Amino acid sequence: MRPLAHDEIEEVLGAYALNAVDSDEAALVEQHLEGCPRCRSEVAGHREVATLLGNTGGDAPAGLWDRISVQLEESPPPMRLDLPGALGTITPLAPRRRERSNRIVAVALGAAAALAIGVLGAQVVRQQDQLDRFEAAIEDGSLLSAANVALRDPEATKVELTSADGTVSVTAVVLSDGTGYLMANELPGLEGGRTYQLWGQTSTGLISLGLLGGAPGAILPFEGGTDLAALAVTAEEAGGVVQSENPAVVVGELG
Amino acid sequence: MSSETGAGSEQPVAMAIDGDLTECSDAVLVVAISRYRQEALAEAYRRHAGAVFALAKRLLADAAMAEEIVQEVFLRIWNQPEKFDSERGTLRSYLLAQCHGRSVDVLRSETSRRAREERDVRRTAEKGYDLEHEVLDLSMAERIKEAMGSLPEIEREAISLAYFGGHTYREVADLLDQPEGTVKSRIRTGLKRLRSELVGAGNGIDL
Repeated sequence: MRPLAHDEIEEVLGAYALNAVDSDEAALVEQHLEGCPRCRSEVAGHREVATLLGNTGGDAPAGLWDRISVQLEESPPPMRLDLPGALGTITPLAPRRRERSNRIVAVALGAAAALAIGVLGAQVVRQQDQLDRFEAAIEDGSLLSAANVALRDPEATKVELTSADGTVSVTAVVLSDGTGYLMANELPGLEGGRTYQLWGQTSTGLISLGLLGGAPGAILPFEGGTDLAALAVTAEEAGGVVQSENPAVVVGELG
Repeated sequence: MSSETGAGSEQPVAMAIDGDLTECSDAVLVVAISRYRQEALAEAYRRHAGAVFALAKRLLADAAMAEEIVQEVFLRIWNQPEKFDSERGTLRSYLLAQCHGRSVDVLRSETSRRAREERDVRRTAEKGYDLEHEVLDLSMAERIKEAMGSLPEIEREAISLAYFGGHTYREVADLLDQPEGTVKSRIRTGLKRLRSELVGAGNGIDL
C-alpha cells in the first residue's frame, strides 16, 4: 500500500482509535503517527471517548481470580549463596524488575570488584529458532551423550539454573569428582561479540568455569571442584572476563 | 551498577513495597505489581475486572471467551507492568484499551467468524443501543446516553458497530449500506462531538 497523505490519515483516525481498521491500514496510520504529534493527540482524544463508552459496570465472574492467580509468575525466592566470610556476603535486595527494576542481589567481594547476580528480564528475546538448537545438539553429540550418562549417574547432583522470573531454566549436572556439564539449550541467543560465561561458587570464591559462546544449545563441560556450592551464568563480551560486572542470567544452587 | 528506580516519590514506593493496598492509588498498585506483590494484582482485579469482563463480553457475546480475555489482560499487567504509563491515562482506561484490542483480535480471527455471523443476526434482532445496563455510574450512564442520543443516527450506529461490534469501518459501511468514506468521517466527527459533550468545558469525566 502506498503511504497516505496527512489528510487521508486524518480521516481514518476515529476508526483507527476504535480498532476499526484492518491491520494493513493500521500499520500505515501508525507509521504516520510516529512523525505527527497532532494526529497522535487526536487519537488519544478519541481513545478517551471510547473508554468512556466502554467503561461498564458489573461483577467479574466467580472463580476467575483463582484461575488467574495460579498462573502468576512466582516472586523469586531470595537467593543465598554462602560465601566464605573473608569474601563477603550476599545481600538480597527488595525484588525489582525490568530495566528500572531488575532484581539484583549484590555480592560484596571486596572493594576491588563485585559480581552482581541478578536476573534477566522477562523480555528476553529468543532469537534462535529450534533448528539452530537442534543442529547445535547434533554437533555436540558426543558431549550430549557424556552429559546424558552423567545425568543418569546416581551419585551426580543435578542443578536447575533459573532466572529469577522463572522464564529461563537450564540444567547442569555435577559428578562426585567435581566434573560437570551445563546444558544451555534454553539460553536465548546473544548478539554477535557476546558470550555466556559460567561461574562457580567455591570455597575460594567465585571462579570462572568456562565460556559457552553466544548461540543457544551449547553443552559446556567443566571442572567445578568438589566444593562447588552454586552455579551462575552471565553474558559477557566475547573472550569472557575475570570478574563480572553483569547480573547473572540464571543461577542455581547445588543440593 | 544502577539500581534505584528514581520513579515517583518515596512514599508510594514504600507503600507499594509493604503498605496496605486497599486504599492506595492505581499508580501505586502498579508499582506494587512490579514488585511481585500478588495482593496488588488482586486489588487491581477487584477494582477493574468487572468492567474489563463486561466490555469483553459485550464484544464477544460469549462469557467463556470474555473470561479468557480478562485473564490475558491481568496476566499482561502482571508480566509487563512497565507498559502502563500513569501519565497517559488511568489504569481502568489502560485495561479497557487492552481488553478492546484483544477482543477485536479474537473477533477477527478465523475461528470465531461463524459465531460472529450468528451474533450479528442476534444483534440485528435485538436492535437498539442499551446503555443503562452497561454503565457503572448512573449519572455517567445518563450523560453518555444523552450524548450518544444527541448524535445523528448514522454517527451513533457507526460508532456502536465499530466499537461494540468490533467491525472495521469497511464492514460497518457494508452493514449500513453507506460509502466507506462516509462511515470513516462519521465515526470521526461523532467521536469529536462526544468528546466535546462528555469531556468538554467543566464537564470532565474521570474514569
